[in-house]
Amino acid sequence: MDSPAPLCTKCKSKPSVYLRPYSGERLCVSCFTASIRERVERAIARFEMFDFDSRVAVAVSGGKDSLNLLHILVEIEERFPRAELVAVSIDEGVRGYRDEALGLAGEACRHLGVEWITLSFRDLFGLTADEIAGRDRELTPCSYCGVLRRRALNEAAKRVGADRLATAHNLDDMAQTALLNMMRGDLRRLTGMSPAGNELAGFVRRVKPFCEVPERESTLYAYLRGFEFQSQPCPYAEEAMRTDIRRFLNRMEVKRPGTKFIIYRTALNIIPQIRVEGGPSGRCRICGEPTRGNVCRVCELVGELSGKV
Amino acid sequence: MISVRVRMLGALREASGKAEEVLSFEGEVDVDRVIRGLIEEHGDALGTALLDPVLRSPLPNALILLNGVEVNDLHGLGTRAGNGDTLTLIPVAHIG
Repeated sequence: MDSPAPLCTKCKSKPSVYLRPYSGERLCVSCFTASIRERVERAIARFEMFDFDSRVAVAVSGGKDSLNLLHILVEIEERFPRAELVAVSIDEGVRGYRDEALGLAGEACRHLGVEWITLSFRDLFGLTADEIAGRDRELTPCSYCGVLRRRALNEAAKRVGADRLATAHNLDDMAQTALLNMMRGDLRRLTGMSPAGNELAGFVRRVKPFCEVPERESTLYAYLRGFEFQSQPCPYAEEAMRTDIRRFLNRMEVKRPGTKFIIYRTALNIIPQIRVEGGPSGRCRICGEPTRGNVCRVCELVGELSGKV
Repeated sequence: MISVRVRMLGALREASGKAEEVLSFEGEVDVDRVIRGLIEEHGDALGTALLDPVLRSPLPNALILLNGVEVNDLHGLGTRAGNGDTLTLIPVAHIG
């Protein structure tokens, strides 16, 4: 290597291992890992995500972001003896991809001593993501999977008696969601990306403690903590519009560091200005879950796939 | 002759079919040349997983560490690698 790394700009004593292009900070291993945890704690405090006695369902897919989140929340929970964590995972039924991830999720929960439950698409909706992808359909597999996964996570959180559902959406996810909903002109969905979540009857409040951690930094954090990386990508993700936006934003971030933060913060500034009607006011006539119309989106999609709607 | 050990994690390991590889070069070599050499060795699957199709660069898609230091903290892809150095490639986006 042609020259050693400069010193950490925070502790000024150890060699840095990472340069934050958007802030110019150079961080050593310990200052970097501490900064990620601090960022998560700041987001939790700023958005008032938890109460001191919250029972938190942590959505653990087995990917690096959710494993990072679980580990950090376990560390934070030690200071809050009346708070509780339960890991919840959803088996969408994507052969290979999800099997590997659930193995990693289960291993982490056993290691950390965290209660863990898994619900499957098959049990909840009668069909797997692989079966959805194989059927005649109007939308991409991700469009079905996203709706069903949100319902499944809410159901899992309700079953474990949680009052919060923490998901590991990172800064990249947040910026992608903001841009995606702007490009679709979907203001209602844009308001739904708030890291604090919303209190809606029938839904466990969803919070996003990782919302200000860039995916690159989540990756480095997982590597430095020695977590195993999933090797199988989701076979259906290439079809999603989100993938195009992810690539575009990753390119922009290399050329113009800070782009993702700017999009995220701009969206958070816009959200309070958007006036949307209240939450679901009725109940789905098929499943009984909250909905705005007669039939909820989950039942619409499942019905369409089975030819019943 | 300069030998560089390359470690590939996650989906990059899957795409190359190998967790680790040692590449040898005549004369001076930078990180960019090591990565190009690796892609030549393993072909399209690794190239597709690693390189951004527009920028033709691995920077948007992977975290690249030379002896444990992210290359942007050094001299980017132009950082020279020395004999016995270890280059670690970690995919950033795990889709799904």
